[in-house]
Formats: sequence, structure tokens, C-alpha cells
Amino acid sequence: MKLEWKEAGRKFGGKAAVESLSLEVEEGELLVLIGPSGCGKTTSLKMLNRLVDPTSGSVLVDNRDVRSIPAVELRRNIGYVIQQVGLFPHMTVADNIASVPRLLKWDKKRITDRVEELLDLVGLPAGEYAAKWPAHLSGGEAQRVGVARALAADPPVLLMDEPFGAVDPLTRDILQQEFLRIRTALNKTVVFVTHDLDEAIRLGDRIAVMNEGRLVAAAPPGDLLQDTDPFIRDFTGDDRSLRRLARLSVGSAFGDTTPIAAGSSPSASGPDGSVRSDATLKEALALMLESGERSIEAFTPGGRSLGTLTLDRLLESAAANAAEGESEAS
Amino acid sequence: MKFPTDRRFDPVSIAALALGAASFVFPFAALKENRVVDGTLYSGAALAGPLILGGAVLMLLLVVLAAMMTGREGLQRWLYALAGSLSLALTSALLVQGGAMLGDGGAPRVSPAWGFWGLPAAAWILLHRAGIPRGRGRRTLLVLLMILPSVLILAGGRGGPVSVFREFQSRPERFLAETLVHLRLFSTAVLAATVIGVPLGVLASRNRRFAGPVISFVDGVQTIPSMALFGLLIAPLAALARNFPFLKTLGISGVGAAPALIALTLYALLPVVRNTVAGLAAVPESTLEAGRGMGMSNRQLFRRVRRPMALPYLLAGLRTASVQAVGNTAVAALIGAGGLGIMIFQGLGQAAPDLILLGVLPLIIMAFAVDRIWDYIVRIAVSPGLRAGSADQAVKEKAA
Repeated sequence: MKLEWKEAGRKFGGKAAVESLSLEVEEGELLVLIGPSGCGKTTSLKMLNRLVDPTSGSVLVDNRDVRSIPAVELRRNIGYVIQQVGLFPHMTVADNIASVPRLLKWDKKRITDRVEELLDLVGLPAGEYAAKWPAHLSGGEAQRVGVARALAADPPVLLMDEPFGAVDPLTRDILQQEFLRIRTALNKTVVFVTHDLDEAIRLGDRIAVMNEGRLVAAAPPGDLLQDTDPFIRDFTGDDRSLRRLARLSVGSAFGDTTPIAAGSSPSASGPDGSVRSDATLKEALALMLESGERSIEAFTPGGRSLGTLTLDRLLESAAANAAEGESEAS
Repeated sequence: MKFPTDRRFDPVSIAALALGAASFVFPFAALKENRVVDGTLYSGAALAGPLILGGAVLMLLLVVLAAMMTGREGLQRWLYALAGSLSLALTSALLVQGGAMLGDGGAPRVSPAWGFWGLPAAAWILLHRAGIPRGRGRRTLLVLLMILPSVLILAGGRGGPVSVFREFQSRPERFLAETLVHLRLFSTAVLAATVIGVPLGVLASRNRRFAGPVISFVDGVQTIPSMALFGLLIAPLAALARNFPFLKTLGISGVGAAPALIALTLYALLPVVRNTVAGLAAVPESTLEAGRGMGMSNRQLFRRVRRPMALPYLLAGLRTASVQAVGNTAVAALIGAGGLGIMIFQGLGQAAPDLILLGVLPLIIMAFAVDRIWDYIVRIAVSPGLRAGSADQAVKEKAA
């Protein structure tokens, strides 16, 4: 499903929360909305499932104005995950996940099968978790159930409002990793709201930066980190170069095309202080800083040697990549 | 409660023993030749024969033994429960003993004196100290089992001379009739308060402007003393019945059941309305947003989310309303509505404490039974996911 804001705006009591937002989300794309609190990202998200209707402009789902679709019907086709999770405390985990299928009046057998399948998908064994009460879940487990509940009726679109914002950093890392895995398996159109830049860079196909109700920029993560707009520079911070390093694989410095392994931090280093080619350049730099050496041996995950990654080579490839990005941007 | 385990005697056990001993040391009962005379006061020790004294020693030993059983909770529990049961049995036995010491002439009676309450109080404390875990009515059953010996001792006519039974014997039909009237009055009032109060609460939670007046009305009613409210209703209802005779055929008049039911219903409204509002307000906004976001209509949101989540609060309110109504109904006897209050006020008028007791004892039992019944309903009707009891807590915190 394709989503689009068409000069969409929303005022709350005379004050504009979102002003003339024009942005498209392609089918199967993961768009991250990011910006400081109060920038209008959540309001923009809620326009998509009509929890908020625009006061000007329009919002389209598959080129249809959402206001022409009954809210209840629209929402049953759009999964919705929020930071507070909002599980129903009086229902078991299984009943929570079965909520939308029940609204859609699926038969019992189909619901039971689907619940099991989803618990499996989000990494919670059905035998252990199906009959649990939400009060007995950890924050991370609860949000997994929240994601499973949103996916229950297999909606083509998923809206996520800071879904991993309330869990500890370690759990957040695991949830992000698993979400990437689930997303690859399901191919949904996703709009993801966050204020965490690292999360946006890690998950987003494209990142839309908002400020004071306006769209500042929308670009793939690599491009965004090289954007020269003062607000974006400020927003991405002084360590934006480091963030950029985190998007480049060790292999890329040798012209190797090995992609970065998801959540590779524990496996960055190979034997004898070497570095794997699917680790990031940021990780390689960290390993050098740790050993005090100005170079490190690089190997593919298969064990083939790529040669020595020197500090100079690392800086060079980072600079080359930056120049490439800049020329693309201009 | 947790007690330091290094101490052999916890203060609770000592309190129970002291209370039990009081029954033996202080005036336990008055033995009277008839209802009117003052009679002679006897302490428990003066009444007790060797068997009862033996029982008292056994109770003492059980408590001492129980207190020493730290670390063996299961056994300790049973010892305390047994001691409590024995304490109640001793109470009955002392009453029967007193009856046996009376002659046969006229209607002699054993009237409990103030020392009487020591042993039942000790039993109460010991049963609590035993801390029998609840579950599927098991505790209620065990408590009833512990009361059984004391009831058996009084059965078969042996308890006949006990003053309360004497009062009962002189008016069995009246007693049963008034008990039924009492049950009918308070349950009708609670039912009416539910039928009126729940929709009021739901409306109030939807509309802030409506909520203010509703809450201050039900709050305001509560500040009027029940006696005054009964009195205030007499005049307008009498006037209504006078001017609209058909109302009179419906049983409406200044005195009797009509004003009593109105007043009792008004009193029961506060806990029902306030808890309905509190319960609905306690549903987190995020939960509602999740429901709305998945495509629930307002009606589905109410039925599947708001109602079940507010239920424990509502039931807690109904429980409070019911227990209160049992007590308030006693006052309704003053305006001719009947009920157990009849015995109490007659007893007060005749300076006959035994008759008062005949009204008060079933009242206490009724209040306890109602409380237990609601407890049971809460356990079967409220989702375990909401953890029963937490609603009670939240309402209290909100009120504070």
C-alpha cells in the first residue's frame, strides 16, 4: 500500500502542529519520521489511520483520501504500535493478539493458528506465553506482543510510534534487530516515528526529519548524514562522521561488497585481533583504539584474508564516501 | 504481617491469651430467674467445671506450642486454628454450664455480660493469626468447620437458657419475618442503586459538566445522617400519597417501606456512582488508543476494554454499598419499614439487652455473609489479569 500526505496540515486550537506536509511512502518502504518532541511527527503518523484528521490538505492511502474510508475499516487494515504498548490487561497474551482477528470475525481455528504463528514470529514460545497476563511480561516481551497484535490480521501497513522508546538500551537493540528480521520476512509498508537518530539510521530506508510542524528533509540515511542544512547538521550532531562510519562495512574499504551484519557488534573481531569484513568501519576504528595499533587485519566471514586495514585507508574510504555523498546531494 | 522469629511469643498470641483469660476472670454472664431481674454475675472461672478448665488449659498449650513452631508454618497454622476453634467451643460450653446451674422454674436465662466477649475475640484473633490461605471458598469452609463444635455444643436444647435464644423462642415467626424484610429491603435498595447508579456513573465519566453535579449530589446525600434523611422523606411522601391516591395503592406513604427504600437507595448510590466513574477513569489513555487504533468502534471499545477494566472498581463499590445498606436498613425500622432494627429498638425501649442482641447478631452475620459473597463474585467475575483488590486500593488512594 502506498501512503501519501498531500499538503496535509493539522491545527490544534489555532496552533499548527503540522503545516503543509507533502511526503510519499512507497509500497514496502520503511519511512522513519524523526525530529525533536513537538515537531509534529506523531500527529503526522496519526493522520494515516485517522486518529487525527487533517484540517487542511489530504492524506491518501493507495491514492484514496482516507476521509472517504470509514475510520474503523481503515484501521483494521493498518497495524498500530505505540510506545506504551497498550496491551489489554484483562486479556491473556493470546487474546490480546487475537483482538483484530476477532473484530474481523475469523473462525476459532484460524485465530488459534494465527496467534501461535505470530508468537513464534516475535520470538515468544506460544506454549509459555499464550496464557500469560500482560502484567507478568517484561517491557521487551510486552512490546513483542504489541507488535504481534498489530500484525495479527496481516495488514499491509504498519504504523509505529516510538515502539522501542520505553525499553532499556540492550532490549531495544535486540528488538530493533528482530524487527529488521521480521520486516524482511513480511515486506510491509512501515512508518516509524522515533526521536532516536541511531534507531532511525539503523532501521530506515528513508528518514524524514521534521521540525516545528514542517518537513525539513527526507533522504536515505547515508545522504542525510551529509546534508548541509544547518538544522540537520545540528540534529545529527558532531559525531555524524562516526555515525557515517557505522554505515560502511570494513569490506567496502577493500572494494568488497559484503553487507554489514545485522547487530554485528559482538562478532566484529575475528581471531588474533583481526576484524571481520561484515563489521562496520566504526567497529574497526574502535578495535584499533583499543589495541593502540594503527592497523588491523581484515578477513571475510568465510576466513579469506582481505589484507591490512590501516588507519589511513580507513580515513581515506570514509572521505571518499563522504565526497561521493556530497556530489550526490548537490 | 511478619513477626520477628527470634521472639518465642508474638504480641498477637499474647493478646489472644489475655482476652481469653479475661472471660474467666471478669463477669462472663448473669444468671437470671426471668427477663426482668438483674440476676447474679458469674465469672468464667466460677462457671467452669473440670472439663471446661481442662479445655482452657489445652487452649493455652496449643497457643504456646503454635508460637514455638516458627519455621513450620503449616503446622503452626493448624495449631492456631485449632486453638481458635477451641476458644469458641469454650464460650458455648460456659453458656451451657451457666444454663445448667439455673433452676427449671419460669424462664431462667444466661445473659452474656461484658466479660463474655473475651473468648470470641480471642478466637477471632487466632483464626486471623492462622492466616489460612484462600482459594475457591476453601477458607470459608474451614472457618465454618471451626465454628461447628461451638454450634454443636449449643444444639439439642442445651443452648435454650441462653438469653438470645430465650428472646427468639418468644417470637420465632416475628424474628424470621423481620429477617426476611431486612434482606428484602437492603437487597432491593442495592439493586435499585445499581440500576440507577451505573448508568449515572457511565454518563458522568463521558461528560465532565454532568459529572460535577452528579458527584456532589451523591456526596451530599452521604453527609445527611440516616436518621434525618428518613425523617425528611416522611413529609413529602405523605403529601404525595395524599394528593395522588393512586400512589397510595402502589404502597407509597410517609412511613413504611417507600421512604426507607428511597433513603437506602440514595445512600447506596455514592459508592456505586463514584466507583463506576473511578473505574472508567482508571483505564489508561494508551490502552484506549491501542483499541481505537486497531479499529474498535466506540461500542466495542466500551464492551471489550472499558467495561471489563472498570468492573473490579464497580464490584468494590457494590460491596461497600451492600455492607453499608445492611446496617442502614436497621435504622429504617424507626419509620415503620420493619427489619431487624425492630428487635434492636424494642430492646432499647424495654431496656432488654438480650433482645437487642437478637437483632444485632443476625445483622453482623448478614454483613459478613454479604461481604464474603461479593468477595466470591469478584473472584469469578474479574479477570485475574487485573489482580483483584488493586481496585479497592486505587479508590482509597483517590479518595484520600
